[in-house]
Amino acid sequence: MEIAGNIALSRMMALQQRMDIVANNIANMNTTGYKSIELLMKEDKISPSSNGVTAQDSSPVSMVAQWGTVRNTSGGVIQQTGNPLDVAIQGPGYFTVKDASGQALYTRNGVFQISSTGTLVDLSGNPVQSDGGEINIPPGTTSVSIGSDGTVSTPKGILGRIGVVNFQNEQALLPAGTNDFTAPDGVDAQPVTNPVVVQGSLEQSNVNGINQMTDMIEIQRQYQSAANIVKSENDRLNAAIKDLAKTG
Amino acid sequence: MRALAIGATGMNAQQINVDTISNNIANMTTTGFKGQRAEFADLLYQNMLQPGSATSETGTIAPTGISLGSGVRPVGIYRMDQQGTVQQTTNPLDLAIQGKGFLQVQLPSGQTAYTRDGSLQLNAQGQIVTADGFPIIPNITIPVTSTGVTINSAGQVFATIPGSATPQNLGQIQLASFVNDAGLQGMGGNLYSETDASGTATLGNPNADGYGSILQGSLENSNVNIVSEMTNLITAQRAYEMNSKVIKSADEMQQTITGLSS
Repeated sequence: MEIAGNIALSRMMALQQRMDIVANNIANMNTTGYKSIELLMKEDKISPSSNGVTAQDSSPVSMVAQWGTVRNTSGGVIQQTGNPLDVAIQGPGYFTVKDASGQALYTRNGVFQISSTGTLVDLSGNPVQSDGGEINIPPGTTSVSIGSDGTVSTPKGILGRIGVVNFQNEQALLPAGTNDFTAPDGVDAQPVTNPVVVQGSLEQSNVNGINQMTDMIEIQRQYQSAANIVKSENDRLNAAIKDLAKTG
Repeated sequence: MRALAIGATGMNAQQINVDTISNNIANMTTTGFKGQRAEFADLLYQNMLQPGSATSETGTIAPTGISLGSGVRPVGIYRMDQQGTVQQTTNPLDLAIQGKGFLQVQLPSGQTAYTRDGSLQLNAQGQIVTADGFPIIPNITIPVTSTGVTINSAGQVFATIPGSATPQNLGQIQLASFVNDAGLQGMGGNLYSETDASGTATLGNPNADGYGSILQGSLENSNVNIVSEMTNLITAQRAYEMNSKVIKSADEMQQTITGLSS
């Protein structure tokens, strides 16, 4: 295909990916602590070449390429659930849980439970990490209260403080599914000095449905217009082949 | 294009959400019912470009990666354990538990079930049974001659017998408590059974440390908050609609491609 078609094709591929990301955002509209994702595009300048030789006098053409996905880290609306083990972080930061292999996972989903052994765990059963390891709730506890700094206490005393950590570059965290993130090597968690957590509440997903819907309409229209370019380029080639064949 | 499949995961999730909410609303006046909440999590991501990967030989790195998600899945439906409001019924065999603990119920299979529905009755033998006729544990039988039953906050059952000045002590109602109440499995009929997740039951007398107290002549209402259920229902329905629009849009984009070859 000629260059115009290729440019339109690169646009279509990028738009398809954007559509997938919008779909993922909408699917996670009701996922606690989910952060909306956006795809950034970049201009890829390519000098047209024929048979591997770049033409010196022709100006480069701009293709579209994906550049990166960025999470919108703004806080979601904090919704009251009244459940004493639901905790939301107000402001920046992540809870830390450890999976079975001991790997630290970071999450903003504060739906916690008490395991059958009395440990404070997330919905996957991973223990929630305090400043000093796991938090164990003694049997027979009638009520658990979590202070605004994350201190977990029962009428009988303080059990520990749910740690809230943050990262220099939050975008470097890798999404691991199940509302969790993992930190790649070299990205270190630093404790947040004055975290604010809210007991009996959950942070809703920060996906804005209206924005996503308008994005989706825009993507679909742009996709159609890019497809029209591919089609008219194809028609042009067809016409050229027919017309040139006549002269011969 | 994954958008089609992603939209489908979203519709599935919202359907479960609506189902859970409708069950809560349907049980809004069920004695001792605990509302449930569906919780969702994002599915695995395909990391096409790792954040921090080198973008040049001079050591510049990508500040962000490219992560493509694949939708949503329900990760759990959990019970909200808050106390429901206590309503007076003045029926002497209506018991509400204020605080932690469950009544134990003997099922016909011999298995023990647990409940917070204290609307108890007497069967033909004078045994205290649940509304379904299952005896509570420990078994307590009220003598036919008794003219009144008193159950105190510590769960002791007394019967007034005509001609006797002091009420007769018939037994002690015990409560079962679990490390993880949310891990109990609902069996229907307001009954729960113990699971590995809940841990085994520890028995204790009402009013004891870690157990609630018994209120005679009262019942615990369901803890469903109808206002929040209705708003959640609206949110779930809107989310369902938006996911269906994603599917429609993705479908139309694919039609656009098909149209190219004509």
